[in-house]
Amino acid sequence: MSDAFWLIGLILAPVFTGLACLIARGARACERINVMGALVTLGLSVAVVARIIKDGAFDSVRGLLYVDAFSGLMIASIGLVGFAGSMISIPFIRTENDRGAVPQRDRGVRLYYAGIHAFIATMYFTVSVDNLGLLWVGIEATTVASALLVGFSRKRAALDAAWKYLILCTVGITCALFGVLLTYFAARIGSGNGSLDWSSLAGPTGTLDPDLMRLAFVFILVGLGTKAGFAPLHTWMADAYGQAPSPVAGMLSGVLSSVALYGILRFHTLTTMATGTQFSGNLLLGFGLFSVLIALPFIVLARDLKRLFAFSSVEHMGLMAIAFGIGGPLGVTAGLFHLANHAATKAFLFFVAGSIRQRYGTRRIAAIRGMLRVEPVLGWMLVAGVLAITGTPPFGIFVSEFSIVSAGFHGDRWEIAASIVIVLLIGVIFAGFMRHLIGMSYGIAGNNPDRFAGITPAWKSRAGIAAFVPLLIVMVWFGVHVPEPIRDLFNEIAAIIEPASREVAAR
Amino acid sequence: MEEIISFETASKAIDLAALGLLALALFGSIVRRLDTAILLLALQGVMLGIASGAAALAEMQWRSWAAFIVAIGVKAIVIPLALYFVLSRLSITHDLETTISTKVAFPIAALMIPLSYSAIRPFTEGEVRAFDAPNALPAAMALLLLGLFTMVIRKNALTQVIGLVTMENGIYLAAVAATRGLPFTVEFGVAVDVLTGVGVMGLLMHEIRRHNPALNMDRMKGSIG
Repeated sequence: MSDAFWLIGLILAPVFTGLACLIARGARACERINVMGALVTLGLSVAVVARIIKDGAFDSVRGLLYVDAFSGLMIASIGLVGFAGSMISIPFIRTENDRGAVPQRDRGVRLYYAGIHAFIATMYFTVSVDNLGLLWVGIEATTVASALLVGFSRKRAALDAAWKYLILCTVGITCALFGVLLTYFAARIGSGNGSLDWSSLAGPTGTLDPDLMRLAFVFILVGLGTKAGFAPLHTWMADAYGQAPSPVAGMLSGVLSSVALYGILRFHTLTTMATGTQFSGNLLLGFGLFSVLIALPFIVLARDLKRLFAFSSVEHMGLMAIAFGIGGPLGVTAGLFHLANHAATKAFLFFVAGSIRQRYGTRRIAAIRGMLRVEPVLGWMLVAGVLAITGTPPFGIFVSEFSIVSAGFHGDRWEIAASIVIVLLIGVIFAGFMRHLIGMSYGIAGNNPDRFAGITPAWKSRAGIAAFVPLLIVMVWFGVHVPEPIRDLFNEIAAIIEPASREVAAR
Repeated sequence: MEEIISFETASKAIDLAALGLLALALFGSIVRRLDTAILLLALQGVMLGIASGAAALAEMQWRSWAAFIVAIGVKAIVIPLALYFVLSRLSITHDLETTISTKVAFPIAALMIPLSYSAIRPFTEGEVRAFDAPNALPAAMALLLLGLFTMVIRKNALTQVIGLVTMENGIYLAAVAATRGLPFTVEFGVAVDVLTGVGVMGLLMHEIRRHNPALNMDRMKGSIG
């Protein structure tokens, strides 16, 4: 009973927070509701994750919801980034409102907070449902909920970006629905009656028609891959991340892409089980390599800070796809570890980018100069974030990228070749990032860096500290030491994603 | 409950509805007048209603009736009306900007039909389908492609939404024919998503109209880099 209580509470808490924000009187009251709601949601996510780590998977609401270790990792990521995003929104939106950049002033603020909590609720829903059709429903709901947030500023470019995001992702997701339908069809052929419940499909009784499953996976990968941002389906990403308010961009990039990847991986498991081949793994590997390759020139030649980070997301989603494509206990745990590291690091970077934009009044990299002198704290945060995302020790991404590459070196010759290519690409991307970073942190500050000096700096407010510090702790902590329960969690998830690797690991 | 029509009759009705959908989508991909395009979309909804209605009459389960009501209500009435409402506030009646001329577009669109038939053939020969409607799955595949094609060649935001709903109609048809619909909770969730999705698209179009009165999305800001 109490299990069900925590889990339902986790999905409903942000819904109610959002509704309360909608009817709140004034922006300040809305901020207070936001803080309380974010704290309650964080507490519930910790409770659910602790329950999963302690006693394993459980279901509730008559099997409608089912959470296993994989859901647990996703809930933990959404919890961390969702909380940080709600917190950083307070100084961010306050500054925007003071500058008159929030449409409809206080009403706009209320809509904003209602929007982010609705968005967070849809993500929790997606990773907690048992039925793969409802997983689809959840992912489409995340798109609908976040599209209005992308167009929040109602400037022309923002509205166009929101439109592009909504239309492209909905087209993608419609293809994915066809994949879901084919899976259902495959289940009916395989086992007679058919069901879309993950717990029965992935169980010992689940049998799926292999040919249909292969076709289904192609549609799922193209569909949800659009949302995850695999090249060449990533074209909405830079516009949406660039135009969305930075707290939203951080959540989109940090966790929403991973939620889409979560969906793909559920079907990857089913396809591998049904076909007994590496079909879906190879597709993931191919899409992953292509994504890293496509992201490279855009990172090196980027001119806009947020677009730079957006293409970095394409790169990192690609790296995760490569890790899961290589597979095996080593590859899968590396991919999961990378997912967690990327969530914290990328959210941190987008929040930093938002603070920089508010301080400098621009996102143009060429105009952001002399940060370490003009704004030392923020400057060092940018340095830390960029070093972390490019895979420099002592940050977590260094360890996970290293694990992905070493997993590749344990594979067949194609996987070894892929690993060599990855090392080269990561090296070039590092160089590209350093070129941008050195310009931004040193360099001569532009004509008037004090124009916006009067703003309340997000990183100095209490809410800002509450957002940045937990993310930074995770970024460094995972680079130095991975706690035992989390390592166990990764191993458990690896056994869910690749049931076959359980035996390999036991041997 | 006693079924009212036999499975054979229902299968025949679904098959005919599938062919009707195919014709409507093909025509819809080349039509220029926006109000005609919306009308064709509403007729697609009616065809889907016929297909799911036939299935419901043959099965007589509350679940199939619910699917029927969703199909008629959402696809044939609510979405077309919403799109018509948006159109009535626009300054244009035609989607004038296509990337390729209709003379080229029509043969390409028509070509998608045999393509779909050949792509789906391996999966239509078994005995596992719920209804023996040989045209339903290929037609569904063709609707998916035609909808996508419409979205690619059209620049108007409204036409893009029409293409999107066409794609979704294809999946709905496939669901009715192949598996007697998806599990009800899923179908319900999908309907809610489609409705709110179109609602949000309407909101965005309303905002975009202020900067871009003809909703011509070709002039979208932002480049691929």
